[in-house]
Amino acid sequence: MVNSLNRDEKSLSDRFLSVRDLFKSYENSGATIDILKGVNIDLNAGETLAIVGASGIGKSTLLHILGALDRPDSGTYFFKDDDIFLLNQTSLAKFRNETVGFVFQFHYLLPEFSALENTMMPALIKGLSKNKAREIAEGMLVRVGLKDRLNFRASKLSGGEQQRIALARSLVLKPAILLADEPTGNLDKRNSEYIHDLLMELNAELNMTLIVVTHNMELASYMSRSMTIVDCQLIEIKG
Amino acid sequence: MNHNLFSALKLEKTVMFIILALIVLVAAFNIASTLIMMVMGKTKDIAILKAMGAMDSSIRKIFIYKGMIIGAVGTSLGVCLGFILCKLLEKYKFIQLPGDVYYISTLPVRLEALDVFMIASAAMVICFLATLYPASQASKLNPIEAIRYG
Repeated sequence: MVNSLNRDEKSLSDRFLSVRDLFKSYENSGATIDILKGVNIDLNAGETLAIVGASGIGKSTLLHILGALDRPDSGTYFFKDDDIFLLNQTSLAKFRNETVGFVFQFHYLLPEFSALENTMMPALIKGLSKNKAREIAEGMLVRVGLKDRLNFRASKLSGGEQQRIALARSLVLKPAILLADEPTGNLDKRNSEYIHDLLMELNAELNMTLIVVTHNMELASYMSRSMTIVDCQLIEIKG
Repeated sequence: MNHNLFSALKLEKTVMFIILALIVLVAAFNIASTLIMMVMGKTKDIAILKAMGAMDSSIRKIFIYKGMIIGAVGTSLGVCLGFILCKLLEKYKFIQLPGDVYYISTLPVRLEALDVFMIASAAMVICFLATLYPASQASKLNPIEAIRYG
């Protein structure tokens, strides 16, 4: 095992995603629980990273911070030249909308809407026209193999199909970073394999940086790097 | 004599306005509680919209629009029903009055456009105020709480 701090010498100009000295703790019934203590990560465009380990060690918290959904107590997070936690609310929302794609263990699709409308949602939030949003959403749903399900209500589809819609939705704006939190934690083996293959193919196609939190060692083995959290610190597992 | 009667009628109109305003207020609380329940039911949807980059102001607008649509439908229905009732009363005079007290034997009807407009506007303003609290609760929701405890 090698501590990820050793990547510090990387020059600032090629910095893609860089996290330094991240600290995060929670208050619970008056007691402070440390989750992350001095976490560092450096990733290049297109790189794939698995974060593995037992439940409750802070993997999801780290992923939420990387997706700018949560804030650390201290530390810096640079994406290219932007210091993410110094951005104002509008820029932060834009970062979540255009730069980051999120896939969760549960699909969190909007049940009243069709597969196509769910997939269009990030594009509509961005302010694209309905026609343009429909066009790119259709393309992405076809890409994940749901050509025949475009107008089906999300709640009427199977678990595997719902997760594929969630994947299409997260990728519709071709984000630079895809964050996946147990993307196949809720699926059977066949659907899990389908999603794994799809993730790797789309990673190569779109050159997006992929960070996956998983218990699934098979999925972790597809990633170019693997890390785990030990004593609130992120450490690299040599492949 | 007439002076007393008209001041009594004026007082009655004021009291009626207060009673109607209270009814509208109760309806507004209904809208507010419906929206609060909806915000609670839609916690995950709000969280995922925020994770997809929706601004707090957009979330607030969704619930304000929703409340205003409920308000507009209710107000239109109320205005229509009130109009129909007034026309029926005008034609069939089905509310009798004691003639020795009022000098007239049935309840008279006079529809004033300004009155209708004022009542409809007041109803919409109260509906708008009723949406503010639930909408701001929705926009302040922390997406992490909803996603973590899914």
